[in-house]
Amino acid sequence: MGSTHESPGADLPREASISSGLSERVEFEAFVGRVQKRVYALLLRRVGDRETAKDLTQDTFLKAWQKWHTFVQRQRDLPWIFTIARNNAADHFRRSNTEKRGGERQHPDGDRCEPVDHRGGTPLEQLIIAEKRAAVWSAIGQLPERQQKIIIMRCAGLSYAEIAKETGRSKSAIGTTLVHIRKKLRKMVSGDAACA
Amino acid sequence: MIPSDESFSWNEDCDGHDVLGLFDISDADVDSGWEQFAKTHILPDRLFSLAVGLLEPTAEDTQHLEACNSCRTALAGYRKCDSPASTSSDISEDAPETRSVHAPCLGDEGTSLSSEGSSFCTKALPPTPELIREHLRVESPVVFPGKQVAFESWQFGRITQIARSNPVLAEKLVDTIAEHATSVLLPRLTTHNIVLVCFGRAIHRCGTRMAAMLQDSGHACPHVVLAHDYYDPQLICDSQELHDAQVIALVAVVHSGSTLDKLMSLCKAEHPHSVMGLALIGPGDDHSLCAPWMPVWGEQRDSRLSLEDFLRDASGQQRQQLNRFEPNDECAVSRKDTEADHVLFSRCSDQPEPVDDQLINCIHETNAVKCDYSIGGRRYPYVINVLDLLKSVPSRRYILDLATQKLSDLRDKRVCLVYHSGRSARAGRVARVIGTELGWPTVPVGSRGATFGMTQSQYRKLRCYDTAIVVDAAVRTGDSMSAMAYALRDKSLQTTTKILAFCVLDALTTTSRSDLSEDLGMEIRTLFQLPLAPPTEEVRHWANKQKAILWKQMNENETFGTGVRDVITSYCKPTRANRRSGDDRRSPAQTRACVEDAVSHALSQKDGAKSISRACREGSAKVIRHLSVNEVIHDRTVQDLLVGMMFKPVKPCFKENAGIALAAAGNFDWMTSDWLKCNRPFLASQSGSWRSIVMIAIQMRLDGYSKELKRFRDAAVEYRGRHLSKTGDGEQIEESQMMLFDGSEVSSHRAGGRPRQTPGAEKRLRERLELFIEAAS
Repeated sequence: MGSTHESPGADLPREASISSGLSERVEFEAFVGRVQKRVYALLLRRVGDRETAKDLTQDTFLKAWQKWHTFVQRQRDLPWIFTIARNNAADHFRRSNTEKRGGERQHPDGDRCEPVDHRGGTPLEQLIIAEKRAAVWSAIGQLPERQQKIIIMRCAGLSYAEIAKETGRSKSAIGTTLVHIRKKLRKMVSGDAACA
Repeated sequence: MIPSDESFSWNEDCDGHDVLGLFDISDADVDSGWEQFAKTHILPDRLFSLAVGLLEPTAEDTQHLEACNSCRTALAGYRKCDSPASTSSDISEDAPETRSVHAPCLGDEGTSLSSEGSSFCTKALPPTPELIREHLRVESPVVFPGKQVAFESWQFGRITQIARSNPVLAEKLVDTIAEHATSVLLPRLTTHNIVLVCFGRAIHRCGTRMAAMLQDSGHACPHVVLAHDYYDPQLICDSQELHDAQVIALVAVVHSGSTLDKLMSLCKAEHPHSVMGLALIGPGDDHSLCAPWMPVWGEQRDSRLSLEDFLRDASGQQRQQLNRFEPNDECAVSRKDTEADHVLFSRCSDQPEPVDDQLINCIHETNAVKCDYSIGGRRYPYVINVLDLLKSVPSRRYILDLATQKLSDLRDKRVCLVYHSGRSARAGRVARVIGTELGWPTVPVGSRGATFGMTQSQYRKLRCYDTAIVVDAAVRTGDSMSAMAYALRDKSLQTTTKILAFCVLDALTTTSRSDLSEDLGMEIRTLFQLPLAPPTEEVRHWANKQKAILWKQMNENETFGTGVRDVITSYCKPTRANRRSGDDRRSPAQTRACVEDAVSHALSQKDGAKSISRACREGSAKVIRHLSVNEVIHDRTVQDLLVGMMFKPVKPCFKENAGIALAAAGNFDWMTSDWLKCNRPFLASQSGSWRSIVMIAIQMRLDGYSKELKRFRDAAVEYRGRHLSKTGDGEQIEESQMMLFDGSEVSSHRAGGRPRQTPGAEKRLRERLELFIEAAS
């Protein structure tokens, strides 16, 4: 009736890693199920095209899975996945821009190439909407980091209460901040438009 | 003004003005886009699950993936990427093949669950990992119970053998099996009330590891039940444990499917929510059973030939290599073992004579039958005290008349009655009474010590007689009789003097009088045949002795901490033994019944496995306390069943007794982190049974089981660090579980609804873990 472990201490990390491999998959699956629509919403608002948003959503989660084991602060998973999604969208625009350099859908500032809107309209109307969207997102990029996070979460469809929970602030504070952000963005975008 | 969530629109600001198309896509646009996404593609969470093996693809999935380049690319991306599990160098080195299970190919390799009664389509199951194949696939001819011979066979029972020689390897094998099986199982778990019914010792070991993994994956307290006996499968559990649960019957290999089928039928009879089979190795074709089942790995069936064909065609070497496959052990055993078993069970062939009515009257008058009696420091379940029979005049007269009759042929010869000097109080007394009656002298031989050797003077004295009759009150095992016979034979006494034996009572059970007589080359005469069980130390006796030792240690030894000392002194405090009042006031009918019980107890085949099964069925933990220590030590099946009990949701007193019985056998294999994980409610229960674990740890410490103790301590430290700190205040033990472990009905545990929480349970668990660690340090 002897022991079944020669060196129990040595076994622990391996045992832990095996069971954690399985639990990581389950945990990630649950995480994807929880946030996938948010990510899609954010990307759709960012790119304005359903097919592109769909592809980018899949790609975002693929990249997230690649980095999942290095992601420690899992209680802050929403900001993390939104950052990946935004970077992914930025990469997408850069790629598109490179592929279609000189094309007619190129952004006026030469940095962005916005896709055609899924809702139809004349090419000109679509172009105008795309330009406006690019301007708004460009303005979002210039906001302080805390405000960026809040507006991004709102873009992803989170309610005030959810944003408040994520950021550790009160619901009313989030509402007030969003009002300020809107005003600021309107000012920035109007200024851009005026310059253009 | 702060906009409310309800009035908020991306196209309007808080004042309701258009914000320059600030967010030109509304929530409704998102919803409609999402719906379209879900309709026309596979959503990311499902795609991920399919890619890593958490879900089995449906036909629809397969069809879509064939058509949709986008989803196919994403799926391929998940497979190619380095997942957290695959980046572990340990795993990739030890089990490089595990990827195939987690990333089953779709399309050609698609598997699906068909209607009830069929297996999963197993056309392209992942291959068995090399680690498993290398150690558990045996190339040697074995004969199966159906007299069929295979030259190669899967022997998962080898895990148990490997564990003795190479524990680390055994752990790797168990890990690999459990991880793959859990991966296959996880997507199919539909409830949180899960019971894993594991057939056999090795599979039970894997099952407990799976339970720990399921707990890590968020399934609360999956239960592991041991099933055993290939020929007559039985579940070692209370029938209510399976009620309304999702039951997964786990077996090692499906060949004909009969074992899995029987097991699932048994489970179905307990009214579970659903039953599903899981075989580690299954054939590559459909196999209809009474419930759905699936294999973890796909392998072709072993080709088998009849034993006659094998014996006709096999070479001499192959014949020598032929072993018997023991389905209960899931591995091959030597044929010699089988032959030895056969010889053992075929002994005791003589039928006992009916019990003499007159003897029963004598026993009743003299109150000679005793239960649970100790003679010479040995415990006997039943005793007929011959000395008591001689105390009463009528019964003594009856016995002497019978003895005179039995020895009448020797009346005209020079006869002496011989007994061992060390047994003058019992055998000597009988010899003197008979000697006085028949006018024969009595000669004590040997010394008063344990030795049976004769002195020269004793030898000379015996040589003067034609016949020497070795006298004893009763012959129960034949050991004393054999010792006397050999002692007399050593001096070649039989050349001059005829030696025979005489006993009042033939209480032999493991052998017959005629067999013993033949073995000893000596005639044995007896007056009554009344088979009685040999001396047996039961688990309760061992536990009491152990408690007495520990109690003394705690009072004398200052090395133990206050916490441990308090627990042990309260747990092991000696209690006054209850005097058995029934022995003194039996009616004649009760005496007869008691004697008949004694005989049937002696003749019944000792089956600890059945006793444990009965304990579960009847909810009586004391059956375990009455198990023979000898049986627990020598019968591995009994130990397996007790280990199984340690992982089941039974009342704390069951676990207490099972743990002590295992400790009596020196089996501490169950004291692992898996056990701690699966026994959270037991460890935090309000009953005092948990103290037995402290007692066992102290016993291990005193007996020098340092390796096992270190493992237990490490497990407790790890459990305290990983699980208690992780749960914090948020997760507490369900009160329904606590109720179960504090003695309520099992059904209360199964009851639906939101469980209430017991704030004290977490604290108790912490305190007890500290004590375990202290006791094991």
